[in-house]
Amino acid sequence: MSEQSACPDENTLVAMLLGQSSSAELEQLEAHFDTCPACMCLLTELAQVLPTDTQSKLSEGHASSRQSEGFAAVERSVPESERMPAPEPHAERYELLELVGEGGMGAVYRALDTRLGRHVALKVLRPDIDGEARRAALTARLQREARLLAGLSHPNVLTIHDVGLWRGQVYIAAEFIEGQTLSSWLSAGPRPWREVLPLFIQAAHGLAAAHDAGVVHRDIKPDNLMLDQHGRVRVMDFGLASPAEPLHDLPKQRHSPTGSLVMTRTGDVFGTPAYMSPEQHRGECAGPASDQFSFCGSLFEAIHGIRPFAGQTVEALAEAACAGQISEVAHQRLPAALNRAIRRGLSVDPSARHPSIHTLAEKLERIMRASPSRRAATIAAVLSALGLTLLVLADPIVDSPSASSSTPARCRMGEAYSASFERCLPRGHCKGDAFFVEGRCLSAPAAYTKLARSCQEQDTLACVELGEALLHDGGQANSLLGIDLLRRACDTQSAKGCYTLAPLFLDGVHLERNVARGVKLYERSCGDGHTLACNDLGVLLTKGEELEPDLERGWQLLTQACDKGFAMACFNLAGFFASGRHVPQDLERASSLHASACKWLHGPSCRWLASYYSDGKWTETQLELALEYWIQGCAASDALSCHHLGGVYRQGHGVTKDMTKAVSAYEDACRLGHAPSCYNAGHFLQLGEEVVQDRERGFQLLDRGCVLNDPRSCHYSGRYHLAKGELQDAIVALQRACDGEYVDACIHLGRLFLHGGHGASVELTKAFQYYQRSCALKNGPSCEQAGDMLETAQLGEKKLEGAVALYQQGCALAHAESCVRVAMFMAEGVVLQQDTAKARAMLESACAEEVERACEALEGFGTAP
Amino acid sequence: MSSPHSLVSQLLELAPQLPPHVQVHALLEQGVRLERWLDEAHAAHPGVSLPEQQFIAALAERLRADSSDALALQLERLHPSDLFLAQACVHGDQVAIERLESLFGTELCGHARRFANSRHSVDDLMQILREKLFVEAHSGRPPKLTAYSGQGPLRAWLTVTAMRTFLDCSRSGAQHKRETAFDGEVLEALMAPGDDVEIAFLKDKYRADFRAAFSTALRSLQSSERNLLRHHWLAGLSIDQIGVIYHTHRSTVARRLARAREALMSATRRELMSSLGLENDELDSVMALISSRLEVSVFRLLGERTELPSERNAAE
Repeated sequence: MSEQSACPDENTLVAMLLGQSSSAELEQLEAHFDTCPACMCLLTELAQVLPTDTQSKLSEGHASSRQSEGFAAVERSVPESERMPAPEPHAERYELLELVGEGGMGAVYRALDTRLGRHVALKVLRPDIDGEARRAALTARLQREARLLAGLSHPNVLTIHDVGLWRGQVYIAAEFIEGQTLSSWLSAGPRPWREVLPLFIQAAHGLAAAHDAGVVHRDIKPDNLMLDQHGRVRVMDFGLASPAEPLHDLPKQRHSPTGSLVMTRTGDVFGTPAYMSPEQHRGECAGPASDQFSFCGSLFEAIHGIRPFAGQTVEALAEAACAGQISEVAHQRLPAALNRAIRRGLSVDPSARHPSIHTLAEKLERIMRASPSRRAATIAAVLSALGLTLLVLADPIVDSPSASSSTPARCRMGEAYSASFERCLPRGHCKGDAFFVEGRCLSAPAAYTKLARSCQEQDTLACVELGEALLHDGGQANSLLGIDLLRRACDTQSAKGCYTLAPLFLDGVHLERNVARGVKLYERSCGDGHTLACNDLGVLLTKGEELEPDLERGWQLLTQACDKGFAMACFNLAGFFASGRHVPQDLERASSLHASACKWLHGPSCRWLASYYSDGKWTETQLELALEYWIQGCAASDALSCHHLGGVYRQGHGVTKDMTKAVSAYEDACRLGHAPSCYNAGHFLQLGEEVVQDRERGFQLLDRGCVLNDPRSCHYSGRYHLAKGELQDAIVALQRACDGEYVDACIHLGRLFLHGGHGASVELTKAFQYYQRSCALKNGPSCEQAGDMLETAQLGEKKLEGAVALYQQGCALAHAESCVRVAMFMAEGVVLQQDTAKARAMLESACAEEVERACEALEGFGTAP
Repeated sequence: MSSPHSLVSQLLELAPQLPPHVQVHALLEQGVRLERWLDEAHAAHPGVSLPEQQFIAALAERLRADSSDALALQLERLHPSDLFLAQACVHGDQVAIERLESLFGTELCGHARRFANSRHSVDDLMQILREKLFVEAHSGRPPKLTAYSGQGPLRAWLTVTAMRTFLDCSRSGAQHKRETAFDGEVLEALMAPGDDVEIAFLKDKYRADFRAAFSTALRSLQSSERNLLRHHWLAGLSIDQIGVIYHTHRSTVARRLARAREALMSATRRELMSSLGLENDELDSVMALISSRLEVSVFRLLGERTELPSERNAAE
């Protein structure tokens, strides 16, 4: 019957979905699925289209037509006992306060979450959506998106708290934002681009985070960007993709010649035509690039006040978008780079758009930075005081032959020349706005003055540096001046000048994109002996992201740079040999290249070698070598090398176990910014295990770890603060740990507020919140504790439904005590439907797990009637 | 309409495959039930016509049982109105086909939308499905709808059939090799390069051993456990969704999942212990890291597995 003879037929699968298969049949099915990817794939799809809460509807047939159309018989045919219990309704959890918005697909209410006492935005599907199937599809979609977003936490994405059923409707509960959508903000009047752009940059970051998590929005438009009172933007309505609200007088139906089954385009979840990408118009799948298109369309509208594509009907809009006919705009004072960035995002061909929304966000940020600021005014003043503006514009600078890049007489801003290494090393940061020039931290005006003087004295390197600084710190006028300086430097044979100028032709922000020109400049700089240029171009050509890949040339360039002792280039080359990309894998060759790079203090190369030698077999010589490389890597300021070194000493692999050395290596790693090492070092120092105990130093390390956002460090730092009686600091640290999902910290806070102590007063609401959070972080006992607080009315009044929901969560986490609580409710038929048999079974299994209370309850069961 | 008695006689005549001891007569309560089914079917699908004889024949063909109890269960689970409609469609009744489309078309079209891609539009997919359901193939294969047994709701059967058809469409042409190396995929997810350097370190050190131990452990699980882990980790299904597949409550799924995960971990641990000869506490820390990584990986996988099916197949 079925064309895939080996696969179970549809009738068999339906029986399984209805729970009608015998255990022998099930076993056979499972064995088949185990070896049949196609069937597994089918099950996956089925599980996604059969909404979990409509399971019983599946057994009931076509629900909407049931009564009138005779499916009643169908319903009876599935015995009650075999049906799946309906999910717990959170019926009374939310109290509606006011309707705040209504769209094509649903309504949004401000609601009070009675369990947590906070306001939420509750989005509910409109009850009048036609068609059971469509409702089911929208419902499934809502749930899937909510599940995806639940794992996504980003300041620029609306936080989803909860999704579920409410009075028979699916809802999403999200954070409630006091504010307005960008479309209403924009409609209040024209806004200058400088005001608009930062908001869109925020939105781009939110969208980027979503893309990273694999979520495509599919309906980006100003209506879906929310601006709060503090100027923070959040992207919202993921996947809710409201069914194309007809643009003012758009025709609603679109008849298909192929018959009654085809839904109208405007009738289904699709997007908003005015912002839709060509591929969406064509009915193809929307990917991240489609979001980018809609984003740029929205930005276009925000800046120009008109939509990017003109058209009164869906068809007209589709035509304009697919043909790339962008609306004409009145001339506006707008950075050319911004204009270019938006238009690139509106390219018809998705691959011609920006590589990702990340790249676009960065580009927009650069554009924003390139606009004049207060400091730029100071700089301009300094420069004009020196008469430099006139000078550079009037007189070409004559290159001094001695100022070539081969002798680093001067390091770049932010670098320091190290005599011992004979090269510039990145170096610690001068405070605030100050610049590091010639070994000293100088205020911006002083630094510019100094550089400008040197440049006037025909020091080309100073001119390049000044040009670069102007480019990044100044306004538009200053960028022009900066570019001009770089151009002149490059023209006068400064390799570094050309090198600095080259990427400007590739990024298309400061200059019109001109790949050939950029490559030529790189080549020229490389040819003039600037190894950095050889390396950078080599990487660009081998990666092939920004420009056409040319492996052979890229390869040559990298080899050339490596031969000249440029460690990064050797590292890059080694990577190719190690991975076997582009060339056959050759670990010998890779290790010899890494060895060169490590010798030139490239930490990651040392680390690679150390891993290479310590991999697997542990001969003594290899271990010695590995240790040597860990030490070198750590000395070359590679935090991970220090971290591994700590591990080697701690575990005594190939060396005598030495906790003092281990701790000191961890401390180095911590200092270099590796947070888990801060925890390790701090932890051992505090415990004083095989190392001289130094609680205070350990504590400082934990604090640093916490500053570096390591939740575990925060947890222990918090507990140490607590022990020292510093309650406020303790709470702050524990709170950070808990925010970082370190569940022990949440539990600790819960306990602190539940019982008081350490100078803390009892605050039950807070305690409850922390237990609830711990429960959400999958700590079963916390679910029970939180539930208990609701059941015993510790927060004011008894909330049994809430309590049961929490117990059920605990039970789902295999916490036997929570299951006992659920069973008790079930036995008594309170909140839950009475089911003595099931309750007894639950208690029995809990009793078997030695939960005293379950056994006691069972005894009570025995005597009960 | 024929009398109840003659209906049963027809049925018995047409169902020679039933052993004589099976008391169809008694079960059908002298045909009253059979007659009621026909009435209900006509009421449910007004205007749809199917000769009584053909409905009885289809029913008779589907009665396969070796005991009276089994037959009782089979009849209990029968969806007569659905079978009636399906048979009418198969016999070419235009009203029936329209009825079926109006009942289920929108929903099936919604499913098709998930699979539409550049090669197959929603229209294409629906057309392929219609042909498969209603039309006899060149090869002489009868219309798919003939295969509907009536033992579950037609809606569910159509959903399964449609999904299978759409999946085949979106797969043909693209590679067909999903999940060839399940252990490899899970392992990569477990051991993915993250910011956790300790795990990276372990990965360097024990990669080969861990891989071997992990695949051995995975093979030692039961099929059902492996499938459960696949559903959860690879397909990213939620506990509720897995519950849909097996018609099981979420807490049962959760428990089974926890057990499968536990079994996998402890088997891996045993394997590692014997292959590496590690001391207990070091093994503990390895395992602790790997377990904690597991949760992270699950979320990562969930995030990755969100493309549309068509994209997913294309990507593989």
